Amino acid sequence: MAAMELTATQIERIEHYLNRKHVKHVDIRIEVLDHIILDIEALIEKENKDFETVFYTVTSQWNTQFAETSSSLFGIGFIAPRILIHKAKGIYRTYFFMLIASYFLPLIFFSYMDYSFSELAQFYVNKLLHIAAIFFASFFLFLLIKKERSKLKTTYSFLLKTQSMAIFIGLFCVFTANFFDKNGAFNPISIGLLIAFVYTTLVYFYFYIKHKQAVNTYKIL
Amino acid sequence: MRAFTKDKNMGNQKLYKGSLQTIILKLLAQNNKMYGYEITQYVKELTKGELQITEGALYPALHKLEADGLLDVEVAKVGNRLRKYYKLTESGSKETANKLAEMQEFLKTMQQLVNPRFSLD
Repeated sequence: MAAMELTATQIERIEHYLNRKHVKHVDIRIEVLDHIILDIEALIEKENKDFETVFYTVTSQWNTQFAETSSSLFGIGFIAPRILIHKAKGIYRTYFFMLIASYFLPLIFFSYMDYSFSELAQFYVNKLLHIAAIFFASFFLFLLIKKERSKLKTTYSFLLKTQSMAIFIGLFCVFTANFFDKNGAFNPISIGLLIAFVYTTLVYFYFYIKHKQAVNTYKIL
Repeated sequence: MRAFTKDKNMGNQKLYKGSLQTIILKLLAQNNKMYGYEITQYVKELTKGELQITEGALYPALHKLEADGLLDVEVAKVGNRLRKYYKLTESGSKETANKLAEMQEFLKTMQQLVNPRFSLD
């Protein structure tokens, strides 16, 4: 006897359930959908029960994974199903701690260093840092627009969404008049922010590439 | 995270919990590539139902291994839907060997602790 297979309408019912639970990120959705379908088919065959009964049994086991939650890593504004938050945290954790380090290490280093630049050196270094700020802010904005145009959602597009607000740090760096203090030394806060923003832009670029790769992997349907 | 398994035998399940990643790596080393549901069924069959991995434990473990670069993903079309297969990366294969060696060492130590061989020598 051929193995029991769900009808297109029954699969649509599961898809609707996943939509209601906001499981829309394709890398997670396809494996969850596949798992639920296989679980339901096996249970119908094994226990000889109707689809509705088995559907509720199987989906009730998944509800905890789809409960909406947030993480301190991304902020309470970014709410998503637990399974997505968990995966995103696994990817982002290392980058988060490096981001913190990219701000605080220069801040501490330049706060305790005893040095000063000549006025001419300050002028040229300041110009150079402004050019760097404009370049990275423009690149970040470009990636932000590209990401917004991408229709397919992946865990990486969720991560990109959580990092999008960094553009304001970029704009702050662009409009910072002077990266030096009155003593001719680097302003540790401005330099820290610029380095953290450069780092965020590079991470943002990496996540964007990974998102595009994921889109290419899953668009074969 | 939910309990590791749906089984009533929770004492054993807690013992298995810390070994989930090693179990997954070992299965993938044996079977080249597997999808989530297949892993749960394979483990259930191998252990004659003693160990049942829940979705709440399986997917976080798979995603963690993927994020660590130990697993790679391959997608295949099955009927009208996609199926996501996991397979070991090169570093995943090396890590499997390390984890299995660690596991062997752990089992040996536990054996010595739980069932020491007394000798009159």
